[in-house]
Amino acid sequence: MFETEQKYASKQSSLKLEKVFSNNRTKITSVRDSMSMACDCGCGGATYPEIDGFYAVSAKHPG
Amino acid sequence: MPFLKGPLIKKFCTEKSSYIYDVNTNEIVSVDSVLYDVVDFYGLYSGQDLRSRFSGVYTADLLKEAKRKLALAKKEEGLFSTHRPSSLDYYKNMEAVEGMLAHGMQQLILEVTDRCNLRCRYCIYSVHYPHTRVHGTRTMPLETALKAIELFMAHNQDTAEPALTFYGGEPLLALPLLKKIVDYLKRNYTRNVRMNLTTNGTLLFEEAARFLKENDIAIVVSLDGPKDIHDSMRVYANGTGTFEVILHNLRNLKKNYPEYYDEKVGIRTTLACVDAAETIRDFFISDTILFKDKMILTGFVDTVDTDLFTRNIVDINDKGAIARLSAVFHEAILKQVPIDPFLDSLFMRSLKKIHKRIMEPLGETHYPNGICCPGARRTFCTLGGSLSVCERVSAGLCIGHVDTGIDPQRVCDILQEYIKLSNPQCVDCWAVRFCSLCFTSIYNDRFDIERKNKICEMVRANIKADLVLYCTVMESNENAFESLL
Repeated sequence: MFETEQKYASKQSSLKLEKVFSNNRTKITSVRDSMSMACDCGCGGATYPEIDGFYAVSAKHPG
Repeated sequence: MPFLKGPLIKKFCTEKSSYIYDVNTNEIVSVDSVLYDVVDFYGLYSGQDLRSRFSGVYTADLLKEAKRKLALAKKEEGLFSTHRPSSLDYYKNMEAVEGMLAHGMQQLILEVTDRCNLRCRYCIYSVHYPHTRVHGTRTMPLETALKAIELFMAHNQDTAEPALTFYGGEPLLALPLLKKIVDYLKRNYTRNVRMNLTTNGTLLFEEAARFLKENDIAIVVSLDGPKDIHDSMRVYANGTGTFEVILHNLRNLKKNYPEYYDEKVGIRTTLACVDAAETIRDFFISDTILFKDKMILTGFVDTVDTDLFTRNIVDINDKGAIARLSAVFHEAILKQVPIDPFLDSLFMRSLKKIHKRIMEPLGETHYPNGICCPGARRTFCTLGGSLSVCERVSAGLCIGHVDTGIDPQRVCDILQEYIKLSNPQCVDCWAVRFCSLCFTSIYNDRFDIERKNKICEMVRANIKADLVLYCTVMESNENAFESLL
């Protein structure tokens, strides 16, 4: 994860700059992936419960 | 001289480190305090300007080195670029829209009734929300429902698992209608359709429970936590609390249909008072029979269109209950103990979005993650047969009717209006790759960019808080989310 640290260190600098927490995912690999990037589900999660991200505006639901 | 813009980045700090989220590469970069301070001015300030700006703070040599290092990172890694997408882009093409509508409908949501036996204090259909309908007395005519089903089934061949959602009001008040719809669907179509509904849980008596179980209909039951918290918001029309009857119904459901309960029943918890989040979590943890490993979905009340709850709402980024729970979450990750469903819903879902981000460069155009192709991703059919973008948007955003189908031109027009209004803000926004705002943010009874801008602020604050928590966890355990990839 800290692969660039040595690279920059070798160019003699005391300033720290390193890419961290990369995940090497370079493409969407499934429909589910693209769904996970899609909207917050207004059905209360019943349809796509694994959809990510439930922000303040996503609480609209009846019942 | 054109207006110059700095790198498209967001800076944030954990207790241990300073970070820059670089939008163009989607990378998170750990930096020291010098680079953290200087990066905002990279590409905008000359060496002389930088020295003046940081006079007495950093030496000239240090600033020179910082510039060199940022330039190197830009050249070799593409970091700290000032590039912005030239525009948002999504289904501009009428042919693409028509193609999606012809065979790609994914979800039909039927407003089977506008009746509800509850008067929850935060309900968007209460009088406190000016842009939505109020509780009514109607049930969808069977003919309308069947026309909608026929339209849906004629246009979902490309969808692996089409979904049918029963929406209300309280859908179980229309149980006889639900039975007829499901019977019609099963008699006339062989394709598997995933069915679901969200219910307030007060009407989950034996007849409804058996129907749901026999037809494999997934449900999400609204339950806001322990009795005093739940009953302060979720009440019958006469003001009586609903907690006891819901718990009774859930226990019966678990006892009579344990497999169905375990696999098809979820809980929706609205945090009307964020301060009570810890108490609510304790409640769900303590009842291991009903809630162990149960899917719990947390949400917050809509505070944009009403001032009813502003006095109750605590900023999600404050040092209160949510911050304390995030520390509990962090601790659990460190100790590698299982995350309970409440914490999972509160934190893990959004952290997944960060962890699973796509490490491709930001393009020349960018389509907003949140918006769908109206009519294809979901279609909301009102009681009267009007077809709308979705149940969360006012019915005014109409895209057709069950008698005439969906109008592709109208879908294109809605998309273009959204793009046109959102474009100036979105292409310059650091959160554009994580944001999931959609039509719900911009439309109440008209397109309203001011409303969207208010919501954008909340979303950016939440995403920043997520980035902080994500990096805090990863500092302790870089493999914390490995299983998510």
